[in-house]
Amino acid sequence: MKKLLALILCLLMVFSVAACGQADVTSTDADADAKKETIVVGYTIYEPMNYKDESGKLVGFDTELAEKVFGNLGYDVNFKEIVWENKYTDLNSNVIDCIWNGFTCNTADDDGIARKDKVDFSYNYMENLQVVVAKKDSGIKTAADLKGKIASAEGGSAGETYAKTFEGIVFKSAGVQTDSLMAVNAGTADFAVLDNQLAKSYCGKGDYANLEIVEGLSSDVEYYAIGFKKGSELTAKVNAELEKLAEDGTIAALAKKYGVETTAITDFSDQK
Amino acid sequence: MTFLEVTSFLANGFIISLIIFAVTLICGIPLGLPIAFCSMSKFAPLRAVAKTFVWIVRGIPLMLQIFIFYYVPGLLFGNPVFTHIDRYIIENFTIPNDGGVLQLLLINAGGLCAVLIAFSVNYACYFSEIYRGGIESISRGQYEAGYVLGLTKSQVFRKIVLKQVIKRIVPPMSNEIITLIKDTALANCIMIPEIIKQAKELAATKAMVWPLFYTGVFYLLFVGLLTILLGKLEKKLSYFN
Repeated sequence: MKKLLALILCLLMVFSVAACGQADVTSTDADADAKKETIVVGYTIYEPMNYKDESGKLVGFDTELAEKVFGNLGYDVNFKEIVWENKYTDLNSNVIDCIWNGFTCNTADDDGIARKDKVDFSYNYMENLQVVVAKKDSGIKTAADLKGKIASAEGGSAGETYAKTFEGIVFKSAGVQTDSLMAVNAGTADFAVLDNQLAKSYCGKGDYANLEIVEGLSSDVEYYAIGFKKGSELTAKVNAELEKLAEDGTIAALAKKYGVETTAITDFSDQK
Repeated sequence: MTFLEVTSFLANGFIISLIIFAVTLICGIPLGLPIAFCSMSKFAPLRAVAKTFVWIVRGIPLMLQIFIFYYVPGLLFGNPVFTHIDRYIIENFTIPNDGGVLQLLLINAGGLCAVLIAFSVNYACYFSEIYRGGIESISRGQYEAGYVLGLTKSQVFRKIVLKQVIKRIVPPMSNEIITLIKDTALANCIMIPEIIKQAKELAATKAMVWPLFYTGVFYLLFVGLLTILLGKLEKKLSYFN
């Protein structure tokens, strides 16, 4: 009796595992069409690109532009907060459909492989720099002052790549860019390397009143673009829509609203 | 943000922590039973399967198990199950935009499912070992005495063994339950808005750092409450002494 029960339980386990596998396969085909109804956009909190306003609503230049682009293309948009280091895993496992979050496209990751070899990029839509942020009384003025200091930047970010170009620094990775500001503020790092847009929004604000951008220490100009899974048919669609929105002045108006009009790109004709 | 606003913002996150806590217990406590029975089975293959399963689940960090459940369906089978859940909810429900618990739950439903499965399976395995230890700690004499009194096998188990097992496993179970509420913080590795994630969001959006440390108060109060309740339960079960 007991052995029979054991055998039944055993079979049940095997079947349930098999059933799971089968369900996966069949729904893949069925979802191929239905899935594109909602586009999942991966983001991290990043003022002024993607952030929450007083009421807790997600706003920002990237947020609104993504809503406009995908709205015009006939999709629903869902914004999903991600851990920046996991962005390629999120994209490749289809947990998200694109990375639209001030994603620097003309840089390489820590493994030396260019980002454009890992994902498909849209047109560049904004210029950016990586800047160094330190406490006001830190005495950091030039690259030579950074020697022997502890750097913090978001793991897997363009900031990490730039931070590692300084000689003699100790690098510490942070989960998201704003965590690296927290590290400098708490003294667990001497300086942070992050996007100029973000640094401008945070330094001097709230608990970060004591932080400032170190003048004269910044990377070469880099560009933001939207990242898609390799081979995605969305890239071309989004590019076409970006051109339209640039022509009718929507992008320029959005840039003005979020104070990024000096860096936003409003003419894509030279990128075709 | 005032102190009260911060408290209520964090409390929303703590409700998510409590949901993970409650669902894990509701699923894990019964799920541990069949695993325990299988790992004590006289049928060797079944015992081997159960023991291997427990070995794998207990041998891998819980954070990694969350990543496995969350990413592997999409990576290996091209079918991101948990994102489908998100999509389904977005297409079929109106999601409030007030930063309340309902909004947090609905926009993170998929990831939360992955977390709940990972936690339930993980804790069920730990519980199963506690159950096994409890059952095997009952001496042979207890069974023999039961048979001598003319009770059947199942009567002996229900009326003599089980009652002693339950009181014996309460202290180790209490230990696991208290660990569980703190383990819920692991959910923020896939950005589930539990209390630590909420506090980090305040640092990211409002440049406020102190709420991160304030979250400890929530855990402390809840663990205090648990300690009292589990202590009472232990007292209640002090029969046969």
